[in-house]
Amino acid sequence: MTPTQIAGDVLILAGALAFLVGAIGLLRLPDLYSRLNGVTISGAFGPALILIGLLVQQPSVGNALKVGLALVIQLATSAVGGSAMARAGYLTGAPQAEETRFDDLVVELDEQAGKEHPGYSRPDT
Amino acid sequence: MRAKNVLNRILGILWMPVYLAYDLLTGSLRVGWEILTPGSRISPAFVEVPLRCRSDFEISMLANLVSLTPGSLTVAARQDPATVWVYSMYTESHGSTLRYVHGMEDRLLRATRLEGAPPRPQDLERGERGQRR
Repeated sequence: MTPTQIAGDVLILAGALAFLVGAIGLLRLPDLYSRLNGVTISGAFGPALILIGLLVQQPSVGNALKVGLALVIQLATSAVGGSAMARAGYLTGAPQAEETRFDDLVVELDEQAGKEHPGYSRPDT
Repeated sequence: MRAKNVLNRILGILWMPVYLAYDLLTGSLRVGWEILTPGSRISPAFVEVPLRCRSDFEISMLANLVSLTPGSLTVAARQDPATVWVYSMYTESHGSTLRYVHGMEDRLLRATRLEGAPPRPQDLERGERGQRR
């Protein structure tokens, strides 16, 4: 066991633990939006740690390129997916936690805001 | 001073991953700590944030950067006038969330524009309880 191997193992283990924390967050956090934040930990932070751990264990220019590409793709898709789920949740009226302090998206007068307003939720059906 | 602007933009592009890694690390630790310790300290809110981004690329990059950081999430975006609605898990006030997103926007615009980021816009008009309408 060389020091770089140990460092890589530690990073990969930390990444796996980040996945675990995200999974516990799915059960622990109060509403859809905060749970999506928990998912972000396992969708962005966990894979980043694991990929960097792999690179530390087997450093080469080729691996650096592959890890960089995998990181960019993973982070981009995770963020887009999170936004899409939050948007779908809001539009279909997912309940918000009691602690929610204010909501700038809420539409009180549909006629004034119009259906183009990003918070307009109910389709005609 | 074109050379200086180009240099500033290149530095902005190079700094982006560093800031992203820092935000990802601190956000993950904060939300992870929230998950692992008992009790609930979150004070979530949906905040409307007016942007200085103009192109589709800038707006979607900013929305993705906000979503990528644990603790904040883009719920909706509008192109004209450029606005994002951000769900933030730890909201002290409108101002704190606005400062957070605008700080991210400063770093993004430094990387995407030669002239750098323009000054930050004012907060929107609020009702007495901080409500937008």
